[in-house]
Amino acid sequence: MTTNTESNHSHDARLPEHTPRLNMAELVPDAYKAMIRFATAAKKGVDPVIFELVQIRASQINHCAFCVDMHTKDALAAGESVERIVQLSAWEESKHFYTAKEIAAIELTEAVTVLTDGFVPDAVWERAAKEFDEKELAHLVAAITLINGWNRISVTTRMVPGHYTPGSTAHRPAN
Amino acid sequence: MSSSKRGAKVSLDVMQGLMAAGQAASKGLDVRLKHLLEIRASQINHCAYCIDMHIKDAKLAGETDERIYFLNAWEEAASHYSEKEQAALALTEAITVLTDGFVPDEVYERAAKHFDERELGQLISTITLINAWNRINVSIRNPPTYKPGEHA
Repeated sequence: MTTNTESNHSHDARLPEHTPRLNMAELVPDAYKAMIRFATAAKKGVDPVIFELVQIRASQINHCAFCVDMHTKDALAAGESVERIVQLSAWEESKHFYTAKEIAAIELTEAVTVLTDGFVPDAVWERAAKEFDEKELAHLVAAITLINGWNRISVTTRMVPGHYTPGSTAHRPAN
Repeated sequence: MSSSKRGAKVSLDVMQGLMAAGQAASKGLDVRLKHLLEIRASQINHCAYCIDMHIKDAKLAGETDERIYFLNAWEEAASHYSEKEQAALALTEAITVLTDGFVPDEVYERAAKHFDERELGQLISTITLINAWNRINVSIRNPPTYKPGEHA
């Protein structure tokens, strides 16, 4: 963050930042670069507005602070509204903020993200299939899978949120 | 519930990207340990195709039936696994079930006692990748008809 003016609360009272557990880009560069190539492939074919909504919602469910920070900032920079971002965690009660297509994508995101509760229900899949063709669906599944991957890496290595600037690739390794 | 494969055309570059990431992730990791982690994550994520695949490949790599079927209750069958394997299994569970919140310090530190930083990086990538395959295969409802060694 570059400014303290968004809040009246004193930053002095805030708890200190944690430090990351380890640096994946340094330790397993091949795997990290392969993830980035997968990211490029997955992102292709998904509407950029839907892409960011999906990335934010999955990151909320997986409690990934770094990813929430990054995708919220990228969404805002791309013109997304604060309202639609804040309402994402309660989208079922705020459907009128979103298109039918966006809701179908968000619903699919939740099902694919919370596999531990079991399966991707037919009803959810079919609602998505009404809004997206087979190729779009596959890219959507890939985009959801992708953010679930980054969520796991960032939560486990405890990447520090708050320093991301929109569009930045500073957190990535050099190619 | 229908068990037939769902229509979703996963593009070649997505599949190839994920496969390349998987290979890079587990390069150098003990293959039997890798399969144990992959089976356990697939159980938690209810991915029938992935369970089928990794059980078959684990057996191909010389894994015993016992160590495979105890995986679902490994904490109560701890004598079947080394300390190192148990630490990796605990880490697998924590990274897989993020929805319950975080990867606890004690789980991470237990793993860090048995694996050096680079190995930890490989473990984390491998667990991340099986979670990715679980999501793709559950979503498209890939039927569990894997031939041993097909993707090993």
